[in-house]
Amino acid sequence: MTAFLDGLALVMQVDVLITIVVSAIFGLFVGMIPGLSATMAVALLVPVTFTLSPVAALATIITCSGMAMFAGDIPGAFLRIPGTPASAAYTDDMHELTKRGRLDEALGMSVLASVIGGIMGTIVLMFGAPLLADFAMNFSSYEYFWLALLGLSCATLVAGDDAAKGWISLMLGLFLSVVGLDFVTGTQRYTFGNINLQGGIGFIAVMIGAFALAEIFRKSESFDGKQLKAQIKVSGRLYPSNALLWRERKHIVRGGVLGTLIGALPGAGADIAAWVTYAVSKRFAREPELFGKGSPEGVAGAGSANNAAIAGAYVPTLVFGIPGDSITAIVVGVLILKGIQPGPLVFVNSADMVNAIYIIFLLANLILIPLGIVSIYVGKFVISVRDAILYPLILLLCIYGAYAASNNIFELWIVLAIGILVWVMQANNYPAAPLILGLVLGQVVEQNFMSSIIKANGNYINFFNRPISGTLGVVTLIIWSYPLIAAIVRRRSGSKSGKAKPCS
Amino acid sequence: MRLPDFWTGLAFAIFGVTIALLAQGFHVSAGAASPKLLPTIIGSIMAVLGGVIALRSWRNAGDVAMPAWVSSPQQIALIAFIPVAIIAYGLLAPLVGSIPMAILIVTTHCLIYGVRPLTAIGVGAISGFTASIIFSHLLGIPLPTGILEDFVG
Repeated sequence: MTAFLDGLALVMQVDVLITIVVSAIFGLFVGMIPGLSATMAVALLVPVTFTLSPVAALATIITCSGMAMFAGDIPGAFLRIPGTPASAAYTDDMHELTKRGRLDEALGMSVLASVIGGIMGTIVLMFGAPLLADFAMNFSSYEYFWLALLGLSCATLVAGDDAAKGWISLMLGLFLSVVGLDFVTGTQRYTFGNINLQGGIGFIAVMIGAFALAEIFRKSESFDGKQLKAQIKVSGRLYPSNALLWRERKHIVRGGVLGTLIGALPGAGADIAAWVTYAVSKRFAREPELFGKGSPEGVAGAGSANNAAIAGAYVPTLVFGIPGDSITAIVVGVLILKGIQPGPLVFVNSADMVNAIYIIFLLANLILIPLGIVSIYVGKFVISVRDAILYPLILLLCIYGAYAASNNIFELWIVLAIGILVWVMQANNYPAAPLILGLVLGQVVEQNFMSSIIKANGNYINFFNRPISGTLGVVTLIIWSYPLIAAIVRRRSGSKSGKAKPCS
Repeated sequence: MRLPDFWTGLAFAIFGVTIALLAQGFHVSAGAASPKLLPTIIGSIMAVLGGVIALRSWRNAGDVAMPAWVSSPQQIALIAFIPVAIIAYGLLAPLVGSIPMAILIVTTHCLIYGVRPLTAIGVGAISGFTASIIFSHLLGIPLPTGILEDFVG
């Protein structure tokens, strides 16, 4: 209780409260613009967090990501274009409902489902994470090594329909993580004598390049001078009635649970949570035939899931220091920058800070109710902001943001190189998310591997000697070998049925 | 910039081999912790997967189509401007200062997007000046000031 009150005192500072409001407005604005994701909003805000207190910095990221996630529904409703990838699953439903003037079942439902989903995710974070942290207290470098490897596996499993391309993206991220001085021997790796590379590749520069600059390239290649304009009027009831909300309660709760669980998987994130929940909601829907044609059930389930996933992703981030998605990858970076090492000990050493995170989550979800409604009215005009003015400003923010990361012009070259690389990769269906997770988890994997191998004096059996590390190791190896085993089984069953045919 | 998978796979395979080969040159001190172990694994996996992607799509290697933006001068200019702007800022901001460079970059970018000159100059001046002041004074980021701003004070 004392830690909770300490956390409350940390949040109830004027600078933190102002930060929450400002980052909420920024998140809503960016989320409303089609093509600009919640991750990009957070990446552009990171330089701002350098000068803030640790709590204010975390408040910036948490509030901005939650707001951007909801705001992505607004262009979906008015234009049938999802503002963020996490809104894509139910964009058709939102648009159809909005066209028919049923804003309460579309954006109104989305606001409340997002709030309930977000609060459910926060409750799981509040009660689940400390329990998990107690369990993780006995973890050694062996367990952390396997956990990080497991996280990398999840990242590639959910990366897209082409596993090989997901793996290549992951390997690129891992490669970026080994550039610089080796932490054990001090050997220079891939620095080519450049002093700027000795400290490694800057994570913030990579994030800005991958999520902001690559988007500017994509906009440039598709720009046709046409400006989006919302033609639908905002009128009638905005909030769903209690009866409507009660009718969709199962979808909202199911979305909250699924979203939190999926969000907690490293690499999965809000996009996957929304798609999976949308499919599950359809399976249990009263009117599955309406899905894709204007189903409030789909909006309720998936809308709840994508906001719940944000809080879910903080579970592995805080407990193990292993980020659940790209946004929490930034959170890990910011925490370390502020002198807080994520891991089970953070619940003991920085209990007030952890409680402050819970409170910020609750606050951010609650202020979404009034701000969300205002943004529905304002959103119609915001999505009409000219790309021709918006994108030059984003380019300037990329330049300043990259420079601010280490006050070094060299970061600009990293941003440019990564921006071009990710633009080309995504155009060829190579996902960007595994690259980011590879960059973040690469150091965790290598440092824990090196510590373990030194402790074990080169004996690899020690990686399986402890019960938890042995279990994690076996699970990881099964996941890694699953595609190979499945291919062999498929081939054998195929050859058997092929042989069986002539006999029949 | 869609390329046949054969070429992207081949590029990653070559890159993977390069990573693994360069790793062999790292100095290995006594003990089990070798700095070349992870880079070698990374390079090898990338080389194998790149090879797999290249092999499975080698039949389509010749299906190279020019991207649509190549036929649009405006889109070419928009794409080319991004690296030009970043390189120009990196090289010139320490000399002339961040504010003039920011104004120049935003104004030129707006003009290429087709914004009318007066509006572009207005947007460039206001946003370039405001963003520079916010970063340097509010956030305390020591943006390059250059001789011009040093002279102005």
